[in-house]
Amino acid sequence: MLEPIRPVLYADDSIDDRFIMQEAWRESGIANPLELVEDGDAAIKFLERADRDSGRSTPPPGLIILDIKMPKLNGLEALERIRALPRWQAVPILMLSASLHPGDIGRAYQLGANSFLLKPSSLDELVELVGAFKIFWLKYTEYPPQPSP
Amino acid sequence: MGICTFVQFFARDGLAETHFLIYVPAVVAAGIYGGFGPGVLATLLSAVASTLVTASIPYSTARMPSRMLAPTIVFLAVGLAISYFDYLLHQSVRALRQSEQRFRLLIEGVRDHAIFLLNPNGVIMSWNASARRITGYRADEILGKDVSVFFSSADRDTGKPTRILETARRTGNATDEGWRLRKDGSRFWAESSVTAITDDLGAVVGFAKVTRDLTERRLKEEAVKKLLAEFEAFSYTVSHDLRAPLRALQAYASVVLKREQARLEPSSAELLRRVSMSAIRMDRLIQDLLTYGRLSRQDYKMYEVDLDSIVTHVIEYYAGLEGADILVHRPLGRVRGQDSLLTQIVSNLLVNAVKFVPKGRRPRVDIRVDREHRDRALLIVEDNGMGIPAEHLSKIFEPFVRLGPANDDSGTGIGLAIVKKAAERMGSNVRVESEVGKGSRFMIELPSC
Repeated sequence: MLEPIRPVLYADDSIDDRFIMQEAWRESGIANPLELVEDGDAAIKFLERADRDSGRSTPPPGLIILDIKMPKLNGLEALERIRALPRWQAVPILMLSASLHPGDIGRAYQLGANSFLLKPSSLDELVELVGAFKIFWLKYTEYPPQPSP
Repeated sequence: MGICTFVQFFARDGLAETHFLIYVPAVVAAGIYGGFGPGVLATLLSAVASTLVTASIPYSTARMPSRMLAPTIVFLAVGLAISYFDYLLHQSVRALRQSEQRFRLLIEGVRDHAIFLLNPNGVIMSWNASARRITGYRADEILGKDVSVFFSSADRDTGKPTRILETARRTGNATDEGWRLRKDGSRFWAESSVTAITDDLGAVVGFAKVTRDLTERRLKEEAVKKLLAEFEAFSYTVSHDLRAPLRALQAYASVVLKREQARLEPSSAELLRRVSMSAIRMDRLIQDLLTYGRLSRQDYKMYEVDLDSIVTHVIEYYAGLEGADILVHRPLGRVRGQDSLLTQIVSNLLVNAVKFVPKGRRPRVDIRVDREHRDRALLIVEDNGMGIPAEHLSKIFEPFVRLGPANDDSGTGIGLAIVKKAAERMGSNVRVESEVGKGSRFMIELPSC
Protein backbone atom coordinates (compact mmCIF):
# COMPACT_ATOMS: atom_id res chain seq x y z
CA MET A 1 0.00 0.00 0.00
CA LEU A 2 1.14 3.54 -0.72
CA GLU A 3 0.90 5.73 2.36
CA PRO A 4 -1.97 8.20 1.82
CA ILE A 5 0.28 11.19 2.39
CA ARG A 6 2.58 10.23 -0.52
CA PRO A 7 1.48 12.10 -3.66
CA VAL A 8 1.14 10.72 -7.17
CA LEU A 9 2.88 12.86 -9.80
CA TYR A 10 1.06 13.20 -13.15
CA ALA A 11 2.75 14.89 -16.13
CA ASP A 12 0.55 15.87 -19.09
CA ASP A 13 0.76 18.88 -21.38
CA SER A 14 -2.99 18.96 -22.02
CA ILE A 15 -4.82 21.16 -19.57
CA ASP A 16 -7.97 19.19 -20.47
CA ASP A 17 -6.43 15.83 -19.64
CA ARG A 18 -5.07 17.21 -16.36
CA PHE A 19 -8.58 18.44 -15.51
CA ILE A 20 -10.16 15.11 -16.51
CA MET A 21 -7.65 13.19 -14.39
CA GLN A 22 -8.43 15.44 -11.40
CA GLU A 23 -12.13 14.73 -11.86
CA ALA A 24 -11.57 10.98 -12.07
CA TRP A 25 -9.28 11.18 -9.04
CA ARG A 26 -11.97 12.96 -7.07
CA GLU A 27 -14.73 10.60 -8.19
CA SER A 28 -12.65 7.56 -7.28
CA GLY A 29 -12.13 8.94 -3.77
CA ILE A 30 -8.36 8.54 -3.73
CA ALA A 31 -6.73 9.96 -0.61
CA ASN A 32 -3.25 10.41 -2.08
CA PRO A 33 -2.77 13.94 -3.43
CA LEU A 34 -2.42 14.29 -7.22
CA GLU A 35 0.47 16.59 -8.19
CA LEU A 36 0.10 17.97 -11.72
CA VAL A 37 2.95 19.16 -13.97
CA GLU A 38 2.76 20.17 -17.64
CA ASP A 39 5.64 18.22 -19.24
CA GLY A 40 8.53 15.83 -18.68
CA ASP A 41 10.95 18.60 -17.90
CA ALA A 42 8.67 19.89 -15.13
CA ALA A 43 8.39 16.33 -13.78
CA ILE A 44 12.20 16.03 -13.51
CA LYS A 45 12.38 19.44 -11.82
CA PHE A 46 9.66 18.37 -9.39
CA LEU A 47 11.66 15.26 -8.43
CA GLU A 48 14.92 17.23 -8.09
CA ARG A 49 13.14 19.71 -5.84
CA ALA A 50 11.76 16.82 -3.78
CA ASP A 51 15.37 15.55 -3.52
CA ARG A 52 16.62 18.91 -2.30
CA ASP A 53 13.78 19.26 0.21
CA SER A 54 14.43 15.67 1.33
CA GLY A 55 10.77 15.38 2.09
CA ARG A 56 10.78 18.24 4.60
CA SER A 57 7.87 20.24 3.18
CA THR A 58 6.00 17.58 1.16
CA PRO A 59 6.65 13.83 1.01
CA PRO A 60 8.25 12.63 -2.25
CA PRO A 61 5.87 11.11 -4.81
CA GLY A 62 5.39 7.37 -4.48
CA LEU A 63 4.21 6.83 -8.04
CA ILE A 64 4.55 8.69 -11.33
CA ILE A 65 2.15 8.81 -14.31
CA LEU A 66 3.58 10.15 -17.58
CA ASP A 67 1.82 11.12 -20.79
CA ILE A 68 3.91 10.20 -23.87
CA LYS A 69 3.51 13.11 -26.26
CA MET A 70 4.66 16.25 -24.47
CA PRO A 71 6.75 19.27 -25.49
CA LYS A 72 10.28 19.92 -24.14
CA LEU A 73 10.81 16.45 -22.71
CA ASN A 74 8.37 13.77 -23.85
CA GLY A 75 7.19 10.90 -21.66
CA LEU A 76 9.78 8.39 -22.87
CA GLU A 77 12.66 10.85 -22.50
CA ALA A 78 11.42 11.81 -19.04
CA LEU A 79 11.18 8.11 -18.14
CA GLU A 80 14.80 7.55 -19.21
CA ARG A 81 15.99 10.59 -17.26
CA ILE A 82 14.08 9.59 -14.11
CA ARG A 83 15.52 6.06 -14.23
CA ALA A 84 18.98 7.65 -14.41
CA LEU A 85 18.41 9.65 -11.21
CA PRO A 86 19.94 7.60 -8.39
CA ARG A 87 17.10 8.03 -5.92
CA TRP A 88 14.30 7.43 -8.44
CA GLN A 89 15.35 4.19 -10.03
CA ALA A 90 12.83 2.11 -8.08
CA VAL A 91 9.77 4.37 -8.23
CA PRO A 92 6.87 2.77 -10.17
CA ILE A 93 6.14 4.69 -13.37
CA LEU A 94 2.99 4.25 -15.45
CA MET A 95 2.73 5.52 -19.01
CA LEU A 96 -0.65 6.93 -20.08
CA SER A 97 -0.84 7.47 -23.82
CA ALA A 98 -3.48 8.60 -26.30
CA SER A 99 -2.27 6.08 -28.91
CA LEU A 100 -1.10 2.50 -28.89
CA HIS A 101 2.03 2.93 -30.98
CA PRO A 102 3.72 -0.50 -30.80
CA GLY A 103 7.15 1.16 -30.87
CA ASP A 104 6.25 3.38 -27.89
CA ILE A 105 4.96 0.43 -25.86
CA GLY A 106 8.10 -1.65 -26.38
CA ARG A 107 10.41 1.30 -25.75
CA ALA A 108 8.57 2.28 -22.55
CA TYR A 109 8.99 -1.17 -21.02
CA GLN A 110 12.60 -1.28 -22.20
CA LEU A 111 13.28 1.97 -20.37
CA GLY A 112 11.76 0.61 -17.18
CA ALA A 113 8.08 1.59 -17.23
CA ASN A 114 5.89 -0.53 -14.97
CA SER A 115 2.71 -0.26 -17.02
CA PHE A 116 1.41 1.15 -20.29
CA LEU A 117 -2.18 2.41 -20.38
CA LEU A 118 -4.37 3.87 -23.12
CA LYS A 119 -6.27 7.04 -22.32
CA PRO A 120 -9.93 5.93 -22.46
CA SER A 121 -12.60 7.57 -24.63
CA SER A 122 -14.81 8.86 -21.81
CA LEU A 123 -14.68 10.20 -18.30
CA ASP A 124 -16.66 7.20 -17.04
CA GLU A 125 -14.09 4.82 -18.47
CA LEU A 126 -11.27 6.88 -16.95
CA VAL A 127 -13.05 6.69 -13.58
CA GLU A 128 -13.18 2.91 -14.05
CA LEU A 129 -9.48 2.85 -14.95
CA VAL A 130 -8.50 5.04 -12.01
CA GLY A 131 -10.65 2.82 -9.76
CA ALA A 132 -8.70 -0.24 -10.90
CA PHE A 133 -5.48 1.73 -10.50
CA LYS A 134 -6.49 2.68 -6.96
CA ILE A 135 -7.05 -0.93 -5.97
CA PHE A 136 -3.96 -2.36 -7.66
CA TRP A 137 -1.34 0.36 -7.31
CA LEU A 138 -2.45 2.14 -4.16
CA LYS A 139 -4.01 -0.64 -2.11
CA TYR A 140 -2.30 -3.94 -2.95
CA THR A 141 1.09 -2.94 -4.36
CA GLU A 142 3.97 -2.77 -1.88
CA TYR A 143 6.46 0.10 -2.16
CA PRO A 144 10.11 0.48 -1.31
CA PRO A 145 10.81 2.71 1.71
CA GLN A 146 10.84 6.45 1.04
CA PRO A 147 14.00 7.45 -0.84
CA SER A 148 16.51 8.34 1.85
CA PRO A 149 18.11 11.80 1.74
CA MET B 1 42.15 -61.35 -81.66
CA GLY B 2 40.64 -60.43 -85.00
CA ILE B 3 42.22 -56.98 -84.82
CA CYS B 4 45.65 -58.54 -84.06
CA THR B 5 45.41 -60.88 -87.03
CA PHE B 6 44.37 -58.02 -89.28
CA VAL B 7 47.24 -55.80 -88.12
CA GLN B 8 49.68 -58.70 -88.54
CA PHE B 9 48.50 -59.31 -92.08
CA PHE B 10 48.45 -55.64 -92.87
CA ALA B 11 51.99 -55.10 -91.60
CA ARG B 12 53.67 -58.24 -92.87
CA ASP B 13 51.81 -59.49 -95.91
CA GLY B 14 50.18 -56.37 -97.13
CA LEU B 15 51.93 -53.11 -96.70
CA ALA B 16 55.38 -54.43 -95.89
CA GLU B 17 55.83 -55.58 -99.45
CA THR B 18 54.52 -52.42 -100.96
CA HIS B 19 54.94 -48.72 -100.55
CA PHE B 20 51.42 -48.34 -99.20
CA LEU B 21 52.68 -47.70 -95.70
CA ILE B 22 54.15 -44.33 -96.59
CA TYR B 23 50.79 -43.14 -97.94
CA VAL B 24 48.90 -43.83 -94.70
CA PRO B 25 49.89 -40.52 -92.99
CA ALA B 26 48.74 -38.62 -96.09
CA VAL B 27 45.33 -40.33 -95.90
CA VAL B 28 45.06 -39.61 -92.17
CA ALA B 29 46.02 -35.93 -92.71
CA ALA B 30 43.56 -35.54 -95.60
CA GLY B 31 40.81 -37.15 -93.47
CA ILE B 32 41.48 -34.99 -90.41
CA TYR B 33 41.76 -31.70 -92.20
CA GLY B 34 39.46 -32.31 -95.15
CA GLY B 35 36.92 -34.82 -93.91
CA PHE B 36 35.52 -37.93 -95.54
CA GLY B 37 35.72 -36.81 -99.23
CA PRO B 38 39.35 -35.71 -99.26
CA GLY B 39 40.26 -38.82 -97.21
CA VAL B 40 38.72 -41.11 -99.85
CA LEU B 41 40.39 -39.13 -102.65
CA ALA B 42 43.76 -39.39 -100.89
CA THR B 43 43.23 -43.14 -100.48
CA LEU B 44 42.47 -43.62 -104.18
CA LEU B 45 45.37 -41.44 -105.32
CA SER B 46 47.72 -43.20 -102.88
CA ALA B 47 46.59 -46.62 -104.18
CA VAL B 48 47.25 -45.55 -107.78
CA ALA B 49 50.58 -43.94 -106.89
CA SER B 50 51.71 -46.95 -104.86
CA THR B 51 50.75 -49.37 -107.63
CA LEU B 52 52.67 -47.32 -110.19
CA VAL B 53 55.71 -47.00 -107.94
CA THR B 54 55.70 -50.70 -107.07
CA ALA B 55 55.28 -51.67 -110.73
CA SER B 56 58.30 -49.56 -111.63
CA ILE B 57 60.65 -51.49 -109.28
CA PRO B 58 62.54 -54.09 -111.37
CA TYR B 59 62.72 -57.71 -110.13
CA SER B 60 60.38 -57.10 -107.20
CA THR B 61 58.04 -59.96 -106.56
CA ALA B 62 55.56 -57.38 -105.39
CA ARG B 63 55.11 -56.21 -108.98
CA MET B 64 53.25 -59.37 -109.85
CA PRO B 65 49.54 -58.47 -110.22
CA SER B 66 48.54 -61.50 -108.13
CA ARG B 67 50.64 -60.15 -105.24
CA MET B 68 49.44 -56.58 -105.70
CA LEU B 69 45.70 -57.21 -105.53
CA ALA B 70 45.33 -58.14 -101.87
CA PRO B 71 47.45 -55.27 -100.43
CA THR B 72 45.65 -52.76 -102.67
CA ILE B 73 42.24 -53.96 -101.50
CA VAL B 74 43.42 -53.88 -97.89
CA PHE B 75 44.86 -50.39 -98.40
CA LEU B 76 41.63 -49.15 -99.93
CA ALA B 77 39.60 -50.65 -97.07
CA VAL B 78 41.94 -49.19 -94.46
CA GLY B 79 41.94 -45.81 -96.24
CA LEU B 80 38.16 -45.75 -96.33
CA ALA B 81 37.98 -46.72 -92.65
CA ILE B 82 40.50 -43.99 -91.70
CA SER B 83 38.59 -41.44 -93.74
CA TYR B 84 35.33 -42.50 -92.11
CA PHE B 85 36.77 -42.34 -88.56
CA ASP B 86 38.33 -38.97 -89.37
CA TYR B 87 34.95 -37.84 -90.59
CA LEU B 88 33.32 -38.93 -87.30
CA LEU B 89 36.09 -37.26 -85.28
CA HIS B 90 35.69 -34.14 -87.34
CA GLN B 91 31.95 -34.10 -86.75
CA SER B 92 32.20 -34.59 -82.99
CA VAL B 93 34.89 -31.92 -82.63
CA ARG B 94 32.71 -29.53 -84.57
CA ALA B 95 29.65 -30.42 -82.45
CA LEU B 96 31.68 -29.91 -79.29
CA ARG B 97 32.89 -26.55 -80.53
CA GLN B 98 29.37 -25.54 -81.48
CA SER B 99 28.01 -26.62 -78.12
CA GLU B 100 30.79 -24.74 -76.35
CA GLN B 101 30.08 -21.68 -78.40
CA ARG B 102 26.35 -21.91 -77.75
CA PHE B 103 27.00 -22.29 -74.04
CA ARG B 104 29.36 -19.31 -74.08
CA LEU B 105 26.82 -17.23 -75.98
CA LEU B 106 24.15 -18.29 -73.48
CA ILE B 107 26.27 -17.29 -70.49
CA GLU B 108 27.35 -14.08 -72.20
CA GLY B 109 23.84 -13.28 -73.31
CA VAL B 110 22.27 -13.64 -69.85
CA ARG B 111 21.30 -10.18 -68.74
CA ASP B 112 21.25 -9.12 -65.09
CA HIS B 113 22.92 -12.32 -63.91
CA ALA B 114 26.64 -12.39 -63.26
CA ILE B 115 27.70 -16.00 -63.86
CA PHE B 116 31.22 -17.07 -63.04
CA LEU B 117 33.29 -19.96 -61.78
CA LEU B 118 35.46 -20.13 -58.68
CA ASN B 119 38.18 -22.61 -57.87
CA PRO B 120 37.89 -24.54 -54.58
CA ASN B 121 39.66 -21.68 -52.75
CA GLY B 122 37.25 -19.03 -53.99
CA VAL B 123 39.49 -17.60 -56.72
CA ILE B 124 37.58 -16.31 -59.77
CA MET B 125 38.25 -18.46 -62.85
CA SER B 126 35.71 -17.20 -65.42
CA TRP B 127 33.70 -14.04 -66.05
CA ASN B 128 30.72 -13.03 -68.17
CA ALA B 129 29.41 -9.77 -69.67
CA SER B 130 26.76 -9.29 -66.98
CA ALA B 131 29.36 -9.77 -64.28
CA ARG B 132 31.31 -6.95 -65.90
CA ARG B 133 28.19 -4.81 -66.20
CA ILE B 134 27.13 -5.37 -62.59
CA THR B 135 30.50 -5.08 -60.86
CA GLY B 136 32.43 -2.83 -63.27
CA TYR B 137 35.42 -5.23 -63.37
CA ARG B 138 36.77 -6.38 -66.76
CA ALA B 139 37.75 -10.04 -67.07
CA ASP B 140 41.48 -9.25 -67.12
CA GLU B 141 41.12 -7.24 -63.90
CA ILE B 142 39.22 -9.83 -61.92
CA LEU B 143 40.36 -13.28 -63.07
CA GLY B 144 42.62 -14.76 -60.41
CA LYS B 145 41.26 -12.50 -57.65
CA ASP B 146 39.49 -13.79 -54.56
CA VAL B 147 35.67 -13.62 -54.56
CA SER B 148 35.81 -11.66 -51.29
CA VAL B 149 36.69 -8.47 -53.25
CA PHE B 150 32.97 -7.91 -53.69
CA PHE B 151 32.29 -8.01 -49.95
CA SER B 152 32.47 -5.03 -47.59
CA SER B 153 35.29 -5.00 -45.07
CA ALA B 154 32.70 -5.61 -42.32
CA ASP B 155 31.52 -8.77 -44.13
CA ARG B 156 35.12 -9.86 -44.69
CA ASP B 157 35.91 -9.32 -41.00
CA THR B 158 33.07 -11.61 -39.97
CA GLY B 159 34.23 -14.24 -42.50
CA LYS B 160 31.05 -14.12 -44.57
CA PRO B 161 32.63 -14.98 -47.98
CA THR B 162 34.31 -18.07 -46.54
CA ARG B 163 31.14 -19.05 -44.70
CA ILE B 164 29.10 -18.98 -47.90
CA LEU B 165 31.62 -21.20 -49.72
CA GLU B 166 31.75 -23.55 -46.73
CA THR B 167 27.95 -23.91 -46.75
CA ALA B 168 28.02 -24.62 -50.50
CA ARG B 169 30.82 -27.17 -49.97
CA ARG B 170 28.86 -28.88 -47.21
CA THR B 171 25.32 -28.77 -48.56
CA GLY B 172 25.87 -28.36 -52.31
CA ASN B 173 24.40 -24.87 -52.49
CA ALA B 174 24.37 -21.59 -50.59
CA THR B 175 22.18 -18.56 -51.21
CA ASP B 176 22.62 -15.11 -49.80
CA GLU B 177 21.28 -11.58 -50.12
CA GLY B 178 23.20 -8.49 -49.16
CA TRP B 179 25.07 -5.35 -50.14
CA ARG B 180 28.20 -5.95 -52.27
CA LEU B 181 30.84 -3.61 -53.63
CA ARG B 182 31.43 -2.60 -57.24
CA LYS B 183 34.86 -1.73 -58.62
CA ASP B 184 34.22 1.99 -58.05
CA GLY B 185 33.32 1.35 -54.39
CA SER B 186 29.56 1.87 -54.83
CA ARG B 187 27.14 -0.67 -53.40
CA PHE B 188 24.73 -3.02 -55.13
CA TRP B 189 22.16 -5.35 -53.56
CA ALA B 190 23.07 -8.87 -54.63
CA GLU B 191 21.05 -12.03 -54.56
CA SER B 192 23.54 -14.80 -55.11
CA SER B 193 23.57 -18.54 -55.33
CA VAL B 194 26.75 -20.59 -55.05
CA THR B 195 26.67 -24.19 -56.24
CA ALA B 196 29.51 -26.62 -55.57
CA ILE B 197 30.91 -28.43 -58.60
CA THR B 198 32.09 -31.95 -57.79
CA ASP B 199 34.08 -34.56 -59.69
CA ASP B 200 33.03 -38.20 -60.17
CA LEU B 201 34.34 -39.05 -56.70
CA GLY B 202 32.37 -36.28 -55.04
CA ALA B 203 35.33 -34.00 -54.32
CA VAL B 204 34.61 -30.27 -54.72
CA VAL B 205 36.58 -28.98 -57.69
CA GLY B 206 35.10 -25.49 -57.75
CA PHE B 207 31.97 -23.39 -57.45
CA ALA B 208 29.53 -21.83 -59.91
CA LYS B 209 28.27 -18.50 -58.70
CA VAL B 210 25.20 -16.71 -60.07
CA THR B 211 24.59 -13.20 -58.81
CA ARG B 212 21.62 -10.97 -59.58
CA ASP B 213 21.68 -7.21 -59.12
CA LEU B 214 18.50 -6.34 -57.21
CA THR B 215 19.55 -2.84 -56.17
CA GLU B 216 16.58 -1.17 -57.78
CA ARG B 217 14.08 -3.51 -56.15
CA ARG B 218 15.82 -3.17 -52.80
CA LEU B 219 15.78 0.62 -52.97
CA LYS B 220 12.10 0.55 -53.87
CA GLU B 221 11.39 -1.77 -50.95
CA GLU B 222 13.30 0.51 -48.61
CA ALA B 223 11.43 3.54 -49.94
CA VAL B 224 8.08 1.78 -49.40
CA LYS B 225 9.15 0.73 -45.91
CA LYS B 226 10.17 4.29 -45.09
CA LEU B 227 6.92 5.62 -46.48
CA LEU B 228 4.94 3.11 -44.42
CA ALA B 229 6.86 4.05 -41.28
CA GLU B 230 6.22 7.73 -41.98
CA PHE B 231 2.55 7.03 -42.62
CA GLU B 232 2.33 5.04 -39.42
CA ALA B 233 3.98 7.80 -37.41
CA PHE B 234 1.65 10.29 -39.11
CA SER B 235 -1.47 8.27 -38.34
CA TYR B 236 -0.48 7.91 -34.69
CA THR B 237 0.15 11.63 -34.42
CA VAL B 238 -3.15 12.40 -36.11
CA SER B 239 -5.01 9.98 -33.90
CA HIS B 240 -3.29 11.37 -30.83
CA ASP B 241 -4.13 14.94 -31.71
CA LEU B 242 -7.66 14.14 -32.90
CA ARG B 243 -8.46 12.19 -29.77
CA ALA B 244 -7.39 14.93 -27.34
CA PRO B 245 -10.19 17.44 -28.08
CA LEU B 246 -12.74 14.63 -28.23
CA ARG B 247 -11.79 13.42 -24.78
CA ALA B 248 -12.04 17.01 -23.51
CA LEU B 249 -15.43 17.49 -25.17
CA GLN B 250 -16.76 14.31 -23.68
CA ALA B 251 -15.34 14.95 -20.23
CA TYR B 252 -16.58 18.56 -19.97
CA ALA B 253 -20.08 17.56 -21.10
CA SER B 254 -20.03 14.72 -18.54
CA VAL B 255 -18.82 16.96 -15.75
CA VAL B 256 -21.49 19.58 -16.48
CA LEU B 257 -24.11 16.81 -16.61
CA LYS B 258 -23.04 15.49 -13.22
CA ARG B 259 -22.43 18.79 -11.42
CA GLU B 260 -25.41 20.68 -12.74
CA GLN B 261 -27.88 17.79 -12.85
CA ALA B 262 -30.33 19.49 -10.50
CA ARG B 263 -30.34 22.81 -12.35
CA LEU B 264 -30.41 21.53 -15.96
CA GLU B 265 -33.57 21.40 -18.05
CA PRO B 266 -34.16 17.76 -19.13
CA SER B 267 -33.87 18.81 -22.79
CA SER B 268 -30.50 20.52 -22.15
CA ALA B 269 -29.31 17.48 -20.26
CA GLU B 270 -30.29 15.33 -23.26
CA LEU B 271 -28.35 17.60 -25.62
CA LEU B 272 -25.28 17.36 -23.40
CA ARG B 273 -25.65 13.60 -23.31
CA ARG B 274 -25.67 13.61 -27.11
CA VAL B 275 -22.51 15.73 -27.22
CA SER B 276 -20.87 13.22 -24.93
CA MET B 277 -22.03 10.19 -26.93
CA SER B 278 -20.98 11.74 -30.24
CA ALA B 279 -17.51 12.41 -28.89
CA ILE B 280 -17.24 8.80 -27.68
CA ARG B 281 -18.43 7.51 -31.06
CA MET B 282 -15.89 9.54 -32.98
CA ASP B 283 -13.15 8.44 -30.60
CA ARG B 284 -14.08 4.79 -31.19
CA LEU B 285 -14.10 5.45 -34.93
CA ILE B 286 -10.55 6.79 -34.78
CA GLN B 287 -9.41 3.81 -32.74
CA ASP B 288 -11.14 1.34 -35.10
CA LEU B 289 -9.53 3.01 -38.10
CA LEU B 290 -6.15 2.70 -36.45
CA THR B 291 -6.81 -0.97 -35.69
CA TYR B 292 -7.84 -1.56 -39.31
CA GLY B 293 -4.68 0.14 -40.57
CA ARG B 294 -2.50 -1.77 -38.12
CA LEU B 295 -4.05 -5.10 -39.23
CA SER B 296 -2.97 -4.34 -42.81
CA ARG B 297 0.59 -3.35 -41.98
CA GLN B 298 1.74 -5.43 -39.03
CA ASP B 299 3.51 -8.76 -39.49
CA TYR B 300 1.72 -11.67 -37.84
CA LYS B 301 3.14 -15.09 -37.05
CA MET B 302 0.77 -18.04 -36.90
CA TYR B 303 0.91 -20.46 -34.01
CA GLU B 304 -1.29 -22.84 -32.04
CA VAL B 305 -4.10 -20.92 -30.35
CA ASP B 306 -6.71 -22.07 -27.85
CA LEU B 307 -10.10 -20.80 -29.11
CA ASP B 308 -11.80 -21.50 -25.76
CA SER B 309 -9.58 -19.10 -23.87
CA ILE B 310 -9.97 -16.39 -26.51
CA VAL B 311 -13.77 -16.59 -26.38
CA THR B 312 -13.71 -16.62 -22.56
CA HIS B 313 -11.47 -13.55 -22.56
CA VAL B 314 -13.75 -11.64 -24.94
CA ILE B 315 -16.93 -12.50 -22.98
CA GLU B 316 -15.19 -11.53 -19.74
CA TYR B 317 -13.68 -8.23 -20.77
CA TYR B 318 -15.72 -6.68 -23.60
CA ALA B 319 -18.40 -4.21 -22.56
CA GLY B 320 -21.97 -4.57 -23.79
CA LEU B 321 -22.16 -8.37 -23.77
CA GLU B 322 -23.73 -8.63 -20.31
CA GLY B 323 -27.36 -8.66 -21.41
CA ALA B 324 -26.98 -11.51 -23.90
CA ASP B 325 -27.19 -15.29 -23.74
CA ILE B 326 -23.91 -16.46 -25.16
CA LEU B 327 -23.80 -20.21 -25.62
CA VAL B 328 -20.33 -21.61 -26.28
CA HIS B 329 -20.21 -25.25 -27.43
CA ARG B 330 -17.01 -26.23 -25.66
CA PRO B 331 -14.46 -27.44 -26.26
CA LEU B 332 -13.89 -25.25 -29.29
CA GLY B 333 -10.39 -26.68 -29.44
CA ARG B 334 -7.16 -25.42 -30.88
CA VAL B 335 -6.43 -23.94 -34.28
CA ARG B 336 -3.46 -22.43 -36.07
CA GLY B 337 -3.92 -18.70 -35.91
CA GLN B 338 -2.94 -15.58 -34.05
CA ASP B 339 -4.23 -14.44 -30.65
CA SER B 340 -4.87 -10.76 -31.29
CA LEU B 341 -6.41 -11.36 -34.74
CA LEU B 342 -8.78 -13.99 -33.38
CA THR B 343 -9.66 -11.71 -30.45
CA GLN B 344 -10.54 -8.97 -32.96
CA ILE B 345 -12.72 -11.40 -34.94
CA VAL B 346 -14.57 -12.87 -31.96
CA SER B 347 -15.06 -9.53 -30.17
CA ASN B 348 -16.36 -7.70 -33.25
CA LEU B 349 -18.73 -10.54 -34.19
CA LEU B 350 -20.03 -10.81 -30.60
CA VAL B 351 -20.49 -7.08 -30.11
CA ASN B 352 -22.35 -6.88 -33.46
CA ALA B 353 -24.47 -9.93 -32.65
CA VAL B 354 -25.59 -8.40 -29.38
CA LYS B 355 -26.03 -4.87 -30.74
CA PHE B 356 -28.14 -5.50 -33.83
CA VAL B 357 -31.17 -7.28 -32.39
CA PRO B 358 -34.84 -6.32 -32.94
CA LYS B 359 -36.30 -4.36 -30.03
CA GLY B 360 -37.64 -6.54 -27.25
CA ARG B 361 -35.68 -9.65 -28.27
CA ARG B 362 -33.03 -10.93 -25.89
CA PRO B 363 -29.77 -11.40 -27.83
CA ARG B 364 -28.66 -15.01 -28.16
CA VAL B 365 -25.34 -16.03 -29.69
CA ASP B 366 -24.13 -19.53 -30.47
CA ILE B 367 -20.41 -20.12 -30.84
CA ARG B 368 -19.21 -23.48 -32.07
CA VAL B 369 -16.53 -25.14 -34.15
CA ASP B 370 -17.33 -27.56 -36.94
CA ARG B 371 -14.54 -30.06 -37.60
CA GLU B 372 -16.03 -31.98 -40.49
CA HIS B 373 -12.74 -31.87 -42.33
CA ARG B 374 -9.87 -33.25 -40.29
CA ASP B 375 -7.39 -30.49 -41.14
CA ARG B 376 -9.82 -27.55 -41.08
CA ALA B 377 -11.85 -26.02 -38.25
CA LEU B 378 -14.88 -23.88 -39.09
CA LEU B 379 -15.52 -21.27 -36.39
CA ILE B 380 -19.24 -20.41 -36.45
CA VAL B 381 -20.83 -17.43 -34.69
CA GLU B 382 -24.61 -17.49 -35.03
CA ASP B 383 -26.99 -14.84 -33.70
CA ASN B 384 -30.75 -14.18 -33.51
CA GLY B 385 -30.33 -10.58 -34.64
CA MET B 386 -32.17 -8.60 -37.27
CA GLY B 387 -30.30 -10.30 -40.13
CA ILE B 388 -28.84 -8.82 -43.29
CA PRO B 389 -30.84 -8.40 -46.52
CA ALA B 390 -29.40 -10.53 -49.33
CA GLU B 391 -28.58 -7.50 -51.49
CA HIS B 392 -26.29 -6.14 -48.76
CA LEU B 393 -24.41 -9.35 -48.02
CA SER B 394 -21.68 -8.62 -50.54
CA LYS B 395 -20.75 -5.22 -49.13
CA ILE B 396 -21.02 -5.60 -45.36
CA PHE B 397 -17.29 -6.39 -45.09
CA GLU B 398 -16.27 -3.10 -46.68
CA PRO B 399 -15.24 -0.28 -44.31
CA PHE B 400 -17.82 2.36 -43.43
CA VAL B 401 -20.79 0.29 -44.56
CA ARG B 402 -23.60 0.63 -42.06
CA LEU B 403 -27.00 -0.89 -42.73
CA GLY B 404 -28.96 0.96 -40.07
CA PRO B 405 -29.17 4.71 -39.43
CA ALA B 406 -26.12 6.27 -37.75
CA ASN B 407 -27.03 6.93 -34.15
CA ASP B 408 -25.54 6.65 -30.68
CA ASP B 409 -25.90 2.90 -30.54
CA SER B 410 -24.82 2.03 -34.06
CA GLY B 411 -21.35 0.79 -34.74
CA THR B 412 -18.49 2.61 -36.36
CA GLY B 413 -19.01 0.77 -39.64
CA ILE B 414 -15.55 -0.76 -39.50
CA GLY B 415 -16.20 -3.79 -37.27
CA LEU B 416 -16.85 -6.32 -40.05
CA ALA B 417 -14.06 -4.85 -42.19
CA ILE B 418 -11.75 -5.56 -39.23
CA VAL B 419 -13.11 -9.14 -39.04
CA LYS B 420 -12.46 -9.69 -42.75
CA LYS B 421 -8.97 -8.17 -42.63
CA ALA B 422 -8.06 -10.19 -39.53
CA ALA B 423 -9.25 -13.40 -41.22
CA GLU B 424 -7.28 -12.56 -44.37
CA ARG B 425 -4.11 -11.96 -42.37
CA MET B 426 -4.40 -15.56 -41.14
CA GLY B 427 -4.78 -16.80 -44.73
CA SER B 428 -8.48 -17.38 -44.18
CA ASN B 429 -11.70 -15.62 -45.09
CA VAL B 430 -15.10 -14.95 -43.59
CA ARG B 431 -18.45 -16.08 -44.99
CA VAL B 432 -21.94 -15.12 -43.94
CA GLU B 433 -25.42 -16.57 -44.27
CA SER B 434 -28.33 -14.51 -43.09
CA GLU B 435 -32.10 -14.36 -42.91
CA VAL B 436 -33.81 -11.05 -42.28
CA GLY B 437 -35.61 -11.03 -38.96
CA LYS B 438 -34.12 -14.35 -37.83
CA GLY B 439 -30.38 -13.86 -37.58
CA SER B 440 -26.96 -14.30 -39.19
CA ARG B 441 -24.30 -16.97 -39.23
CA PHE B 442 -20.66 -15.93 -39.68
CA MET B 443 -18.11 -18.62 -40.56
CA ILE B 444 -14.33 -18.51 -40.54
CA GLU B 445 -12.27 -21.44 -41.71
CA LEU B 446 -8.99 -22.02 -39.90
CA PRO B 447 -6.33 -24.73 -40.09
CA SER B 448 -6.62 -27.33 -37.29
CA CYS B 449 -3.67 -28.22 -35.10
